[in-house]
Amino acid sequence: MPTLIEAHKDQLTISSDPQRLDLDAICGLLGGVFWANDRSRAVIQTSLEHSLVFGVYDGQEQVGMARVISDFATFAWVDDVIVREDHRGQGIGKWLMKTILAHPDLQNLHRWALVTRDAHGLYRQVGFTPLNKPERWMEILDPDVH
Amino acid sequence: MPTIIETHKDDLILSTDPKRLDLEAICAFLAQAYWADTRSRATIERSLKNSLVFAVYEGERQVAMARVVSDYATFAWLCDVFVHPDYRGRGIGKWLMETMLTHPDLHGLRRWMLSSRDAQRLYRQYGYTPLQNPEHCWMELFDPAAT
Repeated sequence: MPTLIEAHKDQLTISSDPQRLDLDAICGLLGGVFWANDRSRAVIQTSLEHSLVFGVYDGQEQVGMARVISDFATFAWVDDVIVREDHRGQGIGKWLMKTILAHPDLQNLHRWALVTRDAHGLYRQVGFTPLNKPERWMEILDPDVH
Repeated sequence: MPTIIETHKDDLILSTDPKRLDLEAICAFLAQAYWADTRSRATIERSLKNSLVFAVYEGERQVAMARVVSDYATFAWLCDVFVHPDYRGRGIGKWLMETMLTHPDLHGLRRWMLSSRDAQRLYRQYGYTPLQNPEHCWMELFDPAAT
């Protein structure tokens, strides 16, 4: 199991403790984003069990998340980075990404990757760039699936 | 833990049983692969522990592998696809691909990804396509010096 980390800023906490995750809050967050709004609760639950999930909490309430799918050795995929609307504009996304990139089990990876429609600025600030060799990448995308 | 599967073809066995993996053979494969020839043994060991590894055996000898990093729900990263040079041209790569894409825990994913210098033709046969608008949506943080 990956190392549990916790970071604090004012009344906010980032934690990678899976036991703190609030499935209802997560389903709510995912229900509000274009890439996951039809993902079933069962699929969400499985995805959480097999990822390193960073929850953002305001007191006890979960107000954000990000999910990392990794082998903790060579590769990490960043997905489902969401900050609840009423908590945006406070730099939480950047703090969350910096916390993820500093996680002790995610060091010395050959490659991180992600896909984003509108948050390039955030990811650029923490070191992400456009693909170096986009012609090498391939995908099977099933747009009808969650 | 993902479902362990095993299939047979001629005298070859394809298995996802992590206990069967031969670390020595895998390190030797990856040392010959352009994308992993500097990867340390410790990194390889950790990567195997946290992935679903498909391996092909002739008797006790491991002759091929492919590795999937997935949440078994939405996403899979396919990597380290390697067939021992003596065993190429026998359809082992295709067999690995077919077996991976039909693994019960990898069914119904939204997205499979990979990056390859020269095997696009193989992957195309299984539904992989080049990225659409890769310059718009895709980002990476790439560390060529990682070991």
